[in-house]
Amino acid sequence: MTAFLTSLTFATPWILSALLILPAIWWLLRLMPPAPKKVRFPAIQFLLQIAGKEESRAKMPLWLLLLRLMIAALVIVALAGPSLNRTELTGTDRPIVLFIDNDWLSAGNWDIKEATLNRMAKEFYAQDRLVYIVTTAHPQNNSDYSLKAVSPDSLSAISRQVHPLSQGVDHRVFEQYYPALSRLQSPEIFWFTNGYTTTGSETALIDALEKIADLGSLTIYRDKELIGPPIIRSVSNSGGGITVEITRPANSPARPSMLLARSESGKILEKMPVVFDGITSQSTSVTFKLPNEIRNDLSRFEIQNSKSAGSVFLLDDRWKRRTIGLVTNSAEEDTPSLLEENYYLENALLPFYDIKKNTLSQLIEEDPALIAMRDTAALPAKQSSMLEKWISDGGILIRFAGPKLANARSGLLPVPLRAGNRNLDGAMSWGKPAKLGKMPENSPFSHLTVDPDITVSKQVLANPSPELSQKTWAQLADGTPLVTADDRGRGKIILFHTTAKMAWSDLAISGLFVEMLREISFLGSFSPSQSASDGLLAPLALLDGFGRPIDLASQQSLSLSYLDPQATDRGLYASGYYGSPQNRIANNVGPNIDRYEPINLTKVTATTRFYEEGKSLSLMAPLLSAALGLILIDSLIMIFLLNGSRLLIRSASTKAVIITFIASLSVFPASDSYAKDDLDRLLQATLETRLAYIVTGDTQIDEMSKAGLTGLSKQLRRRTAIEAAQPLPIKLEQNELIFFPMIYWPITADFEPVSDQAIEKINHYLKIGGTILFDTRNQLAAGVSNGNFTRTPEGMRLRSLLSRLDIQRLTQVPTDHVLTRSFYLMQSFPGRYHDGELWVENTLNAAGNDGVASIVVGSNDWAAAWAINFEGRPVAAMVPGGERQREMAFRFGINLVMYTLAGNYKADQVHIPAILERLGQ
Amino acid sequence: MTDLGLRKNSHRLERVDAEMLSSSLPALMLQAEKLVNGFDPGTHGRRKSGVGEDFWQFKSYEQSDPSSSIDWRQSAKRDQLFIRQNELETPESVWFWCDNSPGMAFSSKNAIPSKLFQSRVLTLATALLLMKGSENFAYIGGLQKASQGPVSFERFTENLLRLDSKDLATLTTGLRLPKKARVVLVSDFLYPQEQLQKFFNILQQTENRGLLVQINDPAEIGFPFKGRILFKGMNGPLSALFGRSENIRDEYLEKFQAHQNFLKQAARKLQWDYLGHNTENPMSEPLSSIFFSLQRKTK
Repeated sequence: MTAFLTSLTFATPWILSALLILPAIWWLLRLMPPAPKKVRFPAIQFLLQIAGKEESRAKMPLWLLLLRLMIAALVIVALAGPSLNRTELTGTDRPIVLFIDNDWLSAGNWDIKEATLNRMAKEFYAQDRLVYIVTTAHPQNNSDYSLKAVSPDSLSAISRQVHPLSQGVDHRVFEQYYPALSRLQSPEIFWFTNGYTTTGSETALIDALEKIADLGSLTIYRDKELIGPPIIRSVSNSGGGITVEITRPANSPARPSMLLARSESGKILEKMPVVFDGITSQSTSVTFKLPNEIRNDLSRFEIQNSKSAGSVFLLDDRWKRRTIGLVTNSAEEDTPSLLEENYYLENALLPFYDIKKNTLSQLIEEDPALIAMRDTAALPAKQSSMLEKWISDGGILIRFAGPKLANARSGLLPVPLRAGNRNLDGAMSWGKPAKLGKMPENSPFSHLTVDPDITVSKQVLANPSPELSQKTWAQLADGTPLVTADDRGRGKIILFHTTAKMAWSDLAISGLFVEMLREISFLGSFSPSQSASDGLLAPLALLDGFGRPIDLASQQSLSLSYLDPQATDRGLYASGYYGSPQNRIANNVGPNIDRYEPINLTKVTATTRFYEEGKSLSLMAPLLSAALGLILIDSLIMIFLLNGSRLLIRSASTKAVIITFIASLSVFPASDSYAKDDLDRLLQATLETRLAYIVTGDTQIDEMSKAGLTGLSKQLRRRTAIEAAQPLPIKLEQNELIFFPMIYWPITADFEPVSDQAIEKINHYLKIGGTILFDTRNQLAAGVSNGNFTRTPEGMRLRSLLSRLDIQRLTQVPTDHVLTRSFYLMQSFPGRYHDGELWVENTLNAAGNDGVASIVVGSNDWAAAWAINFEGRPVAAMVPGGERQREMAFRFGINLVMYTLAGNYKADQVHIPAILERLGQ
Repeated sequence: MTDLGLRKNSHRLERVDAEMLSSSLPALMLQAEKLVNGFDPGTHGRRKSGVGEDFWQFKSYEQSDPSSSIDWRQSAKRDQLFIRQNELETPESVWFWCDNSPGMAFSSKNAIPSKLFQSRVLTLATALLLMKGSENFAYIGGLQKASQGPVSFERFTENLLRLDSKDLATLTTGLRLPKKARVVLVSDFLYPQEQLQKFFNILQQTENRGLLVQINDPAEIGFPFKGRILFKGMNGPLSALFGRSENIRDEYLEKFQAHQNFLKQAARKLQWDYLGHNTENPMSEPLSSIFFSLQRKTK
């Protein structure tokens, strides 16, 4: 109630002073007697004799008096222009600057923020204000930080343009825009904050806010209750499993949540509860122990119901555990002892690889991604050629040197070796064990830090050659190659010039060894040389602020510079995958934030307001209608009083009043009945199979669409196994599409331009297998436009719409198309008109979606042909006519719905004999 | 039910044509017949031979009978001689009048039929009874003389609904009655006493016996009004405003009572019967009263 009262404001509050005259009205009303009741009376003659004796004034009954006072009060209050949830705006000519945090943190309560934003935008629009909008999370290609005013038209659709992104917020914008702001005349600045700082310094932010608040006024909108989403900080592969670190802001209420591990296709592979240690604990970790095969399928972690990109962690190929084959003497070798190379290799490989131990020839047959081969002498010729073939097919062979290799003439080496080995630390040597040198620039190990304590006392030496430095991945301090590698076909051979045990070097027991092996595991998944020359990776698949995939075309996104490990602004890039489908790198929110703390807004001298869900609601109309209603009630009472009850219905004036009353009820229409996807609608849409149609706004066409789909659904129920329920209308901008197998979309010449968001929605719908039947319904008129329906107004509108959709080329339905035989055999597709062409998406070369065209376009006005009225009778006449044509129209509808639901099942050759038989051939 | 009885607006009533009247007749007749069926007039002495037009009975010839009265056709069939006797026609006749002034259309509640309706039903029912009893009856103002039989009844109903002997004033000027007739006047008699007195004087000169049936609505009898009310006459500019009409109830009832007493007195002076009827009450009671009043032997 208090919330209601605080959100109540008046446009012209001074009118409320008229309430002071209510006592005067009271007095006047009491002074004036009510009109007498009139009664016709035959025995008037007796009354005439009495008349004049009794004239005492009758008082108006108190309740009637109160009723009339209430009418007066209502009218006064209504004229004062009350409205709920109106933004309090101080001036009417000052420019407005909106800073909107549209990052992954603001995605949490975006509905409310959007509502608030819409409400404000509506009022700004009504007041004709100059509005500038700065989104704090958008890639700032506006390097001079100048403000650009929003056009009034786009202001009304502002919430469609501002959308939560997966980038972090850069709160330096306040500082960056300060010069531009100071050029405005006392701007009214609003900041839609997400309430948290994750990067940068909080004091700097508060200083900047103080500074811009001094320019004009600053109003900060924030969440009433700050509930930041838990975020996944990091995911690490440990030997035992995958550990996910989760952080939440301080003082969060304990909310049970689940951590989901999903595969590429979105399947939930595993879920674990996220448990924080009490209220104060900010971070926790969850360890997934997954079978290795499943571990490789992992694509993303996400916290259930969190609705934020911060709660999503994408895994790229670096997190995939690769299978490495470890060459042993037999498949069932015992656990190696401390003296054996395989012991060290196994332990070093365990965190990042799935290890398979077997003999070499068996391993080659098992085809692991990599094979680690301990010190081996020359291989038998047969094995050698098998191994070579495996490498050229993409395998990576890691070899380790040792006495055997040093003394053998072995092929399969990255560089030719000198016979024998270099002994740095022998009894006869003057030298000292060598330390490792800096990693070469072109090495995958280049960003690894070298531990100065590692020494190498023996190694095999490479023959010097011009390419040697190119092939060197690690070297000793004196530049002698320690690790060399060379490409063979699509694979690689990597040679460690020292042993995998402690005999020649203590590299094998260092952390660096593990890291080097890890980097090797990334090989093949990503190598810098494969990316663009400038080290930039183009975005591949990005997430929005909610953690949902976005349409790249609509997203202006920057290429991520992966090569710069020092990049501190990774958080300013959208999270998602970068690179190419084969070599992709994930950028995630979690690792890129410094901290996760609420901003202490009390330190800022600014007005703080809360996001309010409620729409700005003008109460004038409801109040006036209430007053009107009371007036009508009053007049009904008067009629009742004057004429007596028995005439209530008969009197013409009463009828007039009742008609006015009923009419007045319809003056103020109920709120939009389509408004949103409420639970009822969602249940309706999902519990039964339904067709749906797009609401065009033209009542006649919408009625026809409804009647048409009703008719088609009826036929589907009667003739097929599809139990289609009543069709549902779809408001494109508001309703969800994905529930419907087929959507009928009548195109009108004045169809409202579709927003980007809706286009995205349609694209998504089409991508996941939906089908839309576009109907320009103008075959009759198409003759005027040379028979080409694309030149009609509807056709133009359709073309501009289709050009924005992500679809294949359209072709005319070929004679062997599945549509011609998915239920009935037919070659023409009449609707109300019979000669329009039918165009479908060309799915010949398209993968996925079962080869079902997602777009069917025509002009035959099918809805009219299918339409039945409530009695089940057809509504529209056919052109040229005949029930045969209507039947064929129904058959087309059934074929189409069958096609959308059953896919290309009928395209299967299996059905050909049956079809030929039915064709009588 | 019927437009006629309930219609308040007198000017509309005047325009009512014969068709509308006849359409209302079945309702009236139904009511009247219902009333009559529930009424047992008792033994009736009128069934005897006499001078009349209608055949009454055949009787064997006796020597005292004139030979001209022998019905030869009948006699030829048998061995005996028969004479044809016609039914007795009584010279005495009953004349009705039903007030049709605007005030008669009044009824205070939907459930109560108007005074006009009730008076017509009463009149018709009485006439029906008389027809069955082969009495002569007629409607005052009609051109026909009193007669009996179904044809007469038809004429009677037509006159009842059609004749414009609307109120007492028209009746007073156009009153033509045979001597020694029985007269039944049905009205609310809400006329100024002077006018009534004048009318009664005229009646006295006709030397007829008769019956005054005063029909009144319960609202007229009980005056149930409360609050601020502007009372208007049924037809005309008369009006009276009372702030608290409940306060004048007693005074009104007194006046009404006085008027009723005046009527009773006038009736006694004329040696007529007076009958008061409240439209709220069933009509069978006044019907029997009227009937038995008519049954009483004159002189």
